[in-house]
Amino acid sequence: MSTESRVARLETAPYYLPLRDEVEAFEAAYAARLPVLLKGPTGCGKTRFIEYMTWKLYRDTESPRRQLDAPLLTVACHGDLSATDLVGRFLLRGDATEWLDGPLTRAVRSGAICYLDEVVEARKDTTVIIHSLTDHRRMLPIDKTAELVPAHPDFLLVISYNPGYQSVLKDLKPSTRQRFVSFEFGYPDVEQEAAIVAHESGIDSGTAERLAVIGEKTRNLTDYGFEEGVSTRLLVYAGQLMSQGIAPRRACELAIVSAVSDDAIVQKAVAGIVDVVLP
Amino acid sequence: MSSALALFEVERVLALFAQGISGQPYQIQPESDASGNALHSPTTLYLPDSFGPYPERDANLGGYLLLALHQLGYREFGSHAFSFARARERCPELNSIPVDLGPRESDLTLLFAHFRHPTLARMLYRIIEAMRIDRHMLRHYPGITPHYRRFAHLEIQQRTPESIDGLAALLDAVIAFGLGAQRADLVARDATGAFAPFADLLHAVVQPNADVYASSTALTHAYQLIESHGLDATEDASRDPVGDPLEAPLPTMHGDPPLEWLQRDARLREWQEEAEALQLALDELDGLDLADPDGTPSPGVATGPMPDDVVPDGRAGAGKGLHGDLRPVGLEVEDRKRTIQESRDLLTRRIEMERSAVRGALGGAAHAGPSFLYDEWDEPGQRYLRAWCRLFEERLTPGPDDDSETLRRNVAALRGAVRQQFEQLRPLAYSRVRKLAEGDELDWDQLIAYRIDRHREATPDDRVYQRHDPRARDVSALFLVDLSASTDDPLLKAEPAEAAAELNLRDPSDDPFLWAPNAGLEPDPPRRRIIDVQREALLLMADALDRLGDRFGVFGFSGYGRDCVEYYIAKEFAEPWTARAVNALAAMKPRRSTRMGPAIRHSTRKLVRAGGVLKVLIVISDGFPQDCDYGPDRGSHEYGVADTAKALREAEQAGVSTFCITVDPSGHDYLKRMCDEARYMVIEDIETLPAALSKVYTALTTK
Repeated sequence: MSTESRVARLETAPYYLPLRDEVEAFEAAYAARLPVLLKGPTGCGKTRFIEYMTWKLYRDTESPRRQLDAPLLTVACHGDLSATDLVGRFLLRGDATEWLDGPLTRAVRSGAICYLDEVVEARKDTTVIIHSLTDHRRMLPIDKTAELVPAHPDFLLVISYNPGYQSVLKDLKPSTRQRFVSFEFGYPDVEQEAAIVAHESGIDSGTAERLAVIGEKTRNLTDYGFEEGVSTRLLVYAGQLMSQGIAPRRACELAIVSAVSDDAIVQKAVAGIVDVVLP
Repeated sequence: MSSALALFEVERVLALFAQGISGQPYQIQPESDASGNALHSPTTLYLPDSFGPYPERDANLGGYLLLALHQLGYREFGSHAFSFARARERCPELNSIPVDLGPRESDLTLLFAHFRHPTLARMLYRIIEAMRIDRHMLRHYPGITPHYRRFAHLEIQQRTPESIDGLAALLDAVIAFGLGAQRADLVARDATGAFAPFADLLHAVVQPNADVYASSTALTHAYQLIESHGLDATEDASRDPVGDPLEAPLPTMHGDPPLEWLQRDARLREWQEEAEALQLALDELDGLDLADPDGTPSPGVATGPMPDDVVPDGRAGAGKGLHGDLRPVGLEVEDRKRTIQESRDLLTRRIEMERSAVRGALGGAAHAGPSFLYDEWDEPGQRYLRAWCRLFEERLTPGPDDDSETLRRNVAALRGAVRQQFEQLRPLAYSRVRKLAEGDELDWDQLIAYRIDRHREATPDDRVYQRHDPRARDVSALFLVDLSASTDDPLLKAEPAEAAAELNLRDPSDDPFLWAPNAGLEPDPPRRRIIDVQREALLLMADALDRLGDRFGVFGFSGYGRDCVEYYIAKEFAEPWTARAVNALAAMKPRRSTRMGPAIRHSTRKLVRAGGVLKVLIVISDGFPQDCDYGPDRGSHEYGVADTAKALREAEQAGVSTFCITVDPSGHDYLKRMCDEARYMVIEDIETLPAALSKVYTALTTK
């Protein structure tokens, strides 16, 4: 099966540091069952946010949805992903065929959150099923089984995309975009980012603060040296390499300098920033 | 290979480094002063032409980073935010002498004027402030420490005096101490008795929270100390460190940045904010005018207190106002409006004068964007001149005379035809989408795989159809427009040459029969120029490409001389095609010369960055490449043509398809030497440029 889906059981709380009021806002959106669109640059914490919110909504001790085994189904969308991959297909069992639900159908039936990551990468036929699920109908039509599956009351569709590097051709159409409430994500400030990097990589807070400063300074080169700034994820990678015993400058060279650009001049400038910011 | 670094080798690295550290673009330029000191202006870092005191190139690059970081530190750590009023609040001794040099003098000049020898005060302040910046720099950027120590080691060796027996030696000792020299060693050399207390008072400057007022306070105490030791009476006190760089006491890294002018530049922004606040206050009062005569505010009008009076006096601490309550509207409101209007007008005039003065002193304001260095092909010498041309990027911002509405109106009639042409372009490109569950036709490879899986009793993939979808065009197109002065020329009417010549010989005002009958007629419509048609053609293209979905950028170029190639941005690749971009396009106007080589090289760089399977560069010009120093002989265009040809070949080698369109009837003569015949077009009638452009684009992007 070509669908790259990941089922999260979320037994323990994922780490997430709220940057503004996004947690309360998402809870409100979920309470009203409003579909959610997460926008933001690469590696800024969109996926982590949805994991955290799923845990909060489905695994909290008070939650009536605690018994659901798989509360979050994540699909990493790609150019070959079609509506069939999301909805399901017939499989052969001996001489018989057997229908197998795709991740979206499973979420619709069970009341889980279905998260379509980088949705604009998927084939256009996926938008048809997205539309019927995100308006008042909350229905999933399955042509092959001639079913019209009503969404479970707890079901929520969440999509994400990155308007920064995805081309105009892959932009979301207004007719799709306007079915979602939009959460805009950016990079955290130095203090918040340092806390995230320290927690995720296990390095001390001083080194994490230095990495966050590198992130902040390097992002000043966005559009001049490269399209997107250094992501929090890359800073965490650098921290994790340091935790494994790699020297700080070498770790930054591997995780940041070489990762952000192939242009030797830009790399040298970023290396200069790393060099002066690290102790 | 020499370990010394030439500035041009690392200029782009340093420019990006400075932008990363400061968050704003900086140009890097060689410091022409013979001292080779590092300096800065609001937009430019001036660094030595070359740097090579260390045997390793990396260490020399680190040295450059150190010089840049110290200069950037003045801005980052608040040097330019200095206000004399606040300095007085922090240091009561500064209140002892009233100083008033006029509203536009730098606050630092006011500070120095407070002392008997302003030159000495300035020198002391520079030393103390540089030390404060160094400490902050080392604290915020600890990785610079090894470079700093290496640099300081050399300086300390040169500066430590045998004996501290006068003002000059004392200042050298203080500098050496600031760079890390041993205090005990310096105290042992001190014959004046001033060094130890001087070093003590510097303690406040090196604290983590030391701001610029810590420096002004330390200056006051240091000056008093020098006076009390009778050192200010020496001849040294009146020497001018600016006039004689060899005597300037600061190290290369600290240089002698024009701190007074930089403070005035920073203050300009504060004044601008004050002017905006005044305008806001006026707008609010205008809103109150809409209230009913009985004082009841109309809907939407705020009923809070009246705007504070923010009448400025051009100094910090100004704006003490008459806190007003909401009172019935009437004469009182009119009085307040008049007062605020007068204050705003006064401040606006002062801002204009100050801006002009600051620009004159600091320069560089003409090019606020980043700059790039490019090689140039020297045809006679058959070699590249390295880093020969400096190209400045500049955004086109519409002025009051730039009329995008007229531009839009002029192209309205043609828009439909061009769009239609591009609509036809779309379905020409299809791509096959395979492995579909539903589609127009069977995908035989998938079908065979399906049958095989069935025989193997494995679950087959039932996506056995295929479809032809309009192909996602992966095109990046860059339009580069010549904005030389000649594009201001009017379009030539299609009249017989002889008749035109005859007409030109006659002055209509000499012939009453010729002009008298015309006296009452409508004036001629505004003459159309080459630039007008260029802009219209680009607007049509951009409009069509936006609908098509191709990535595109629109740029213009001009300049004067190799140090000033100007590259104007109307629309970057990553930006959407919006009203702002149309306004920027409308702001394209004839400027100066046509140095094509660097503009083409810069365009190639942009296209390579933009990516895309197909990269297209279309150059639109109205004449041959020429500039004041484009080659040894200004009368000959051979050099410029050869360099442009080389730049076009470089573009092709980088995977960029190039095409030149010229409206110069004699274009064949030089274009055939610049590029292949299939790669250029000479347009006889410029009015056909829009049609020609879309034809060329279609041909280039559908191969």
